Amino acid sequence: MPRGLPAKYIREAMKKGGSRSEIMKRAWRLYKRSKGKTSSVKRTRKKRRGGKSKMAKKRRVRRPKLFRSMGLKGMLIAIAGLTGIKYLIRNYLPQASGYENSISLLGVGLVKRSVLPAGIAMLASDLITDAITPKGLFTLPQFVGESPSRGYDI
Amino acid sequence: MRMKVFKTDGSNTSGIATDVNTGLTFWQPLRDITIVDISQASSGTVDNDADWVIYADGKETDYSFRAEEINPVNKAGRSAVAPDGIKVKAGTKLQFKWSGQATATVNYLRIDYV
Repeated sequence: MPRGLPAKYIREAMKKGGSRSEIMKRAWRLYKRSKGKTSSVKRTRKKRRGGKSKMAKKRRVRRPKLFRSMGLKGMLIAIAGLTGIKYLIRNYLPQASGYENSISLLGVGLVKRSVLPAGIAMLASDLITDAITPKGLFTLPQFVGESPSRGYDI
Repeated sequence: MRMKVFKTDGSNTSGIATDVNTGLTFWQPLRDITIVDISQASSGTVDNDADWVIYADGKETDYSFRAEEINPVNKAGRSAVAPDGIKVKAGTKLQFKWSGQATATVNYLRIDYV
């Protein structure tokens, strides 16, 4: 019996009779029908013994759902957290306001790893931009002379 | 908007102005400020009106003002430091040095800031 195929499908298929291979085909058909819509992508895997390949079990297609990754509660927490970060930057480090988005994204990245690379990329680009243009949080001396302005005139 | 007033001593034609409120010859704001305007009403004799230079932490800055350009009559409502003002970092020691008076006269330099 193929591994993983529940016996009830085989019993159902046996009711109509036929050769062993016909019964197994019928059983698989019943099994697949009971599992609903499946992906059209075919995957193969090799058997442990011998090099002959066979069809792998089809996987069900997962449709993305709203709030699936974070949940409504997580989203509210994220809003509160991001608002807090932006508030602190705006009040205590206004020259860093250009970093708000990337720092916020980094914060989210600590929870949801998939956005971490994007956060790091944005932060790096902000740092580079700041380094080569005046009036930011910091500026490399070779671009503005000896004393970085840091956004101040005096 | 807030205001600071510095004055010349009336006995020298050049020097470092004194804050009329504190009596100090410098101003060190505790927070970041932006100077939005600088003005000096004429003492009555244009030749005795002072020209000014701003010093920051003992060093001369690019900001110097001739008496004519900070005279409210000549400014006609415009700011002498328009459009962006002068952004000053918290803790910077500001000093206002005057010169250019034909005869020593008391002049008042008004600094508007936010």
